[in-house]
Amino acid sequence: MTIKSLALGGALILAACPVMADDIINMATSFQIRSMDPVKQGFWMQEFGQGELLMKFQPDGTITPWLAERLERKDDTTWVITIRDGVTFQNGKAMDVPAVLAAIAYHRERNSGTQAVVPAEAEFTQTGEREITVTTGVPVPELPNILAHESRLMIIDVEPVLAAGDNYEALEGAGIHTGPYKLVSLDDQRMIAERYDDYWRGKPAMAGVELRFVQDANARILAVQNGEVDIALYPPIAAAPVFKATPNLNLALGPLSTGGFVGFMDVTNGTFEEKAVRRAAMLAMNYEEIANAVFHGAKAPATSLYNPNFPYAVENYRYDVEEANALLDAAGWVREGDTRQRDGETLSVTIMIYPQQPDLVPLSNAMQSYLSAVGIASNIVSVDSVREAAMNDLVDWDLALSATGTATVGSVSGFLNRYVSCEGDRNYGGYCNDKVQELITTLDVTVDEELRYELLREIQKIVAEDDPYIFNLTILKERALVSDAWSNYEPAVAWNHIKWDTAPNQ
Amino acid sequence: MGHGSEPVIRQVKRLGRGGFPVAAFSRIVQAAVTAFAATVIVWALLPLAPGDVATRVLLARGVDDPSPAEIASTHEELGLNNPLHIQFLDWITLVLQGDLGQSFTSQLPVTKEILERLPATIMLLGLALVFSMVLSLLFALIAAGYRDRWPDRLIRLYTQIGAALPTFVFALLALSFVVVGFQMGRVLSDATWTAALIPAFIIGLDRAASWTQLLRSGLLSAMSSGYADVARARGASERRILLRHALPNAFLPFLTAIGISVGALIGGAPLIEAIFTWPGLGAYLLEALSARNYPVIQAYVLIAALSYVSAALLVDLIAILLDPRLRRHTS
Amino acid sequence: MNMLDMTRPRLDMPATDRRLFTRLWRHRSGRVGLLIGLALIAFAIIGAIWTPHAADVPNYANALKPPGLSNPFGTDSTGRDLLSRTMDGAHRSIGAAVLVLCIVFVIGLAVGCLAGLAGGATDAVLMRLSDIAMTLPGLVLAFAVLGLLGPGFVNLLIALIVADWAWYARLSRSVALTASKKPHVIAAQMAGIPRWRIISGHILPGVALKVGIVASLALGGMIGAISGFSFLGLGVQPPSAEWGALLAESRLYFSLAPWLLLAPAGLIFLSVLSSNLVGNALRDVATTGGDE
Repeated sequence: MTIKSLALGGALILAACPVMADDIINMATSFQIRSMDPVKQGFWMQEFGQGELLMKFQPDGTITPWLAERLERKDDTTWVITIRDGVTFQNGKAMDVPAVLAAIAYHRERNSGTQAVVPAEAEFTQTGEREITVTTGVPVPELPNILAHESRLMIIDVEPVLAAGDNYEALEGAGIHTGPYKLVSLDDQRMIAERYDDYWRGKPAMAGVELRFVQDANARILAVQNGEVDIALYPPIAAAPVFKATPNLNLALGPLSTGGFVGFMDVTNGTFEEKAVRRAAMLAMNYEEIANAVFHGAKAPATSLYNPNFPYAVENYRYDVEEANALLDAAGWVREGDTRQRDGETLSVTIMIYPQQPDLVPLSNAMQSYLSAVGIASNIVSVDSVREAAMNDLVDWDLALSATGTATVGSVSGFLNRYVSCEGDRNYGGYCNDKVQELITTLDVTVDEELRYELLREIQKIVAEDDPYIFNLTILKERALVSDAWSNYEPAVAWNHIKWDTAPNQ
Repeated sequence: MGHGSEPVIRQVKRLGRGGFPVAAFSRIVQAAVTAFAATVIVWALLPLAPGDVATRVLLARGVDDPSPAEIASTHEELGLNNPLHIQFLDWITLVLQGDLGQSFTSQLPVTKEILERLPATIMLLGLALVFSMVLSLLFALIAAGYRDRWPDRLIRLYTQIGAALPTFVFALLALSFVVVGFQMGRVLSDATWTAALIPAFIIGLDRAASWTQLLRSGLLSAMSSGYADVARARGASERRILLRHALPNAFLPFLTAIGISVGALIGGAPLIEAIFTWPGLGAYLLEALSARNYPVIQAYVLIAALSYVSAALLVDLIAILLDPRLRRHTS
Repeated sequence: MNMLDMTRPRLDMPATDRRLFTRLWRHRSGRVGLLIGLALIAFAIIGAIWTPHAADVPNYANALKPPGLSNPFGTDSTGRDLLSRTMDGAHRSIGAAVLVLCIVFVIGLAVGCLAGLAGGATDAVLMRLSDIAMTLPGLVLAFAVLGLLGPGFVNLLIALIVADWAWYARLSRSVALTASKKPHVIAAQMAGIPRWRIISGHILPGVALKVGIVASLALGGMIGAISGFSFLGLGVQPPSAEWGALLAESRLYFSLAPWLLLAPAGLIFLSVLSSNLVGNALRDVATTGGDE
């Protein structure tokens, strides 16, 4: 086969020469970038080296300057942003304060995600050559996280965007971003970006980026194995043994992520109405085994609602079959063989998963065996969308699993308000705890860090111990599949897959 | 109208007297009626869809919790308040102008997205069709020529196995053991002719199995018929009888079978394209299915139905052209 | 073979008399086909009641073991015994196929006999209805129904029923029409025997038998179709085992554990093979009227 010999020849040449600076990054992802619409699709541009943000989220939970040079809090409602000098958009235009203000105004006008987190009364005004003063009206303790979130306030050159109107194709090659690689072409198969030579940090490491959209996980794996791409995102972790045993296939693991697989218990209906059963279910989970055996060490054991590296994370998850059994015994659930009975009723729960997250299958399977160890029978249902099924009671469920960040880019309020708060739009289980509600409300307006940490620790305690509702089954690690030549690639937090110095091994 | 149960030939026979133009015209009218019925079914998918369509559209557009006002205005926008027959007329007017609506997810015109994907599917399926026709012709001729000798036995074994393996299982096995095992070809195929070769050959090899069976038995029965004996008595060689007498006679039913299975080929496209990660219409349908992107599903069904009807029509017309008996009235 | 082709076997109606089974049994490949079919059905029935290991319980220490004594088909990525998984899957694959075929058989028989025997307007309306259902290739219609209802095992079965009923209705109609013109039926009519008794006593049993034979020959094809849709994730949802779903799972691990692909593929192959062998044998038996 000529294709084979060509590929072999190519591999030999690659092996013989050091990596050439004019190589491009070949990457495959499962999600298609549908257009260059800065509002609906713009966030992708942060991930692959096109767009940048004022602030950057770090693995330890802190936020550091990026396109900003400094961010200072003057008082509860006043912040000062100093923007970096010498940054240009890829079309050559300087990134000055008016340009940044125009970008912020653009998002606040059109982007509902931005509108949800930046209060309408907030004002951004130029107060110096490189200085922007933000008065938020009400306290916005998480402003740094908002500035670091790819979907909220990406810095773009607004002029060409407005000129293009609905014709987003006109933005291909228009250089509206400030990042190391300029998008030059986008279709339903791939995105192609070229090096931006005048990038503010220096010359980007590679000549460009070719990003392929490949929905099928299996095809992404084979593509790395076959040398067609260097990096494939979203590998199914359950297949880790395959990666280990296959040549030219490596699972690169990065720092802990801000999210995990979260379990929600239906507290208004069925088995989990009882606190004791909810608590017992949490105690029955073998968090170590989930991370190390089910997911082959590619995930970390869950210890609380938050990533253990975060300063406010507590450590209140335990694997304790005995205590779980004792709780269920005390609640009157009598063990008979493999199951438990009370008043002629068998103790059983339904776990709800969805097919877009293939790793939920092995996870839910493992959970079944843990639950069965304490006498809780269980079955698994797979639904199109957990949100739709849970919010509309389409199926009878007790425990919904979802891949959800509890502190995306370090911001905790979004998750708490949507998923845990009584009126939250994703409060699947109908949970409403007065104390938690009060804590969330206070947290929303508390700016002082130490006070915030205290509040968060208390929330973690209640939702796991006193009135259990929501818990992590495992904490994700950032991950990617890479070829041998890219085995040192480090998957980054906050979806920043391609940075200016991203390059293959030396 | 339907083709599944009765062989097309038998239907054509009922077309009446009047020679090719009349027979052809009547067949074309029949095809047009079928196409129209298919169009009505395709349209009916939307009103039949469970739940409120406007809510679905909004969810697919990323509106998480649509307000009643938003839902009402989307109803207005999509013309869902009009009576059904008006909705149908509006829809079919647009379809006739080539407008298949807007994708719920990307909000781009479906026609544009389909046209980007269609060439890839036509390329793969067309090439597969050519491969399977060539292969089955070759195999059947060899098998009939070497009846009950080893080439025939070997080919019969292949047809037994091929007929018992669903295309997707065969493709999966071939892809896993041959293509990936020996690192032949590419995984992330762009829709190019070279990339299409291997997948098309695999599909062709599988489809050829049942066609070989059909053509082989047609050839054999023609070779044992009276006129073959006459030809033999006149001193014609076996090869000449096979190629000049048996093949033309057995060819028509073979062609008909191919015409009918074009529908199956189109219907199987999503599976095939999923296995070969082929960026065609089938893969597009699968994405749409998981997102309940109805306009895309409608467009796929419409295109599949129309190509099926035209393939059947084409085969019938060729049959009428080739076999004058079909033009005559047989009551 | 493509999927829904196979759910509609092409078959010249065999003479259906009491000796049919005996003759089929004496036909060599017919016997092989019957034996394979019976073995698969037994496999499914046993699998519904008992499996050597628990089909759904993971055992991580035992993951991806090649076929051996305690796991004749090997184990999967979470250490589940593949033999148990395929046995458990068998009752879903085969059971669902049987269910779909029973339903299309009943619908087809009822609609077809009603149309064929009532004639007139009833016939015209029912047949136009089936015409409409058959304007689309079966698979495309099934995809359309799945698009409407969304993926899921029950929805898949509904889709397959919608895709196939019309074909069985037409078949039943033509068989019923032929049967109603048989001399003994006409004689019975002349003798003044009530119409419903003629239908229930003389026509229906024969039609049901013939259409039933066709439907049972479609079993292999139906299993193939169900597994194809499940392979795409549109049918059985994990962690439930089904042969097509097992095939889909196996893709990821192919380079390490090719047996994961071979076992379900082999079972699907055997199902279709068994139907094909019996179908071919029936054709032989019907045309030669005797042994091979």
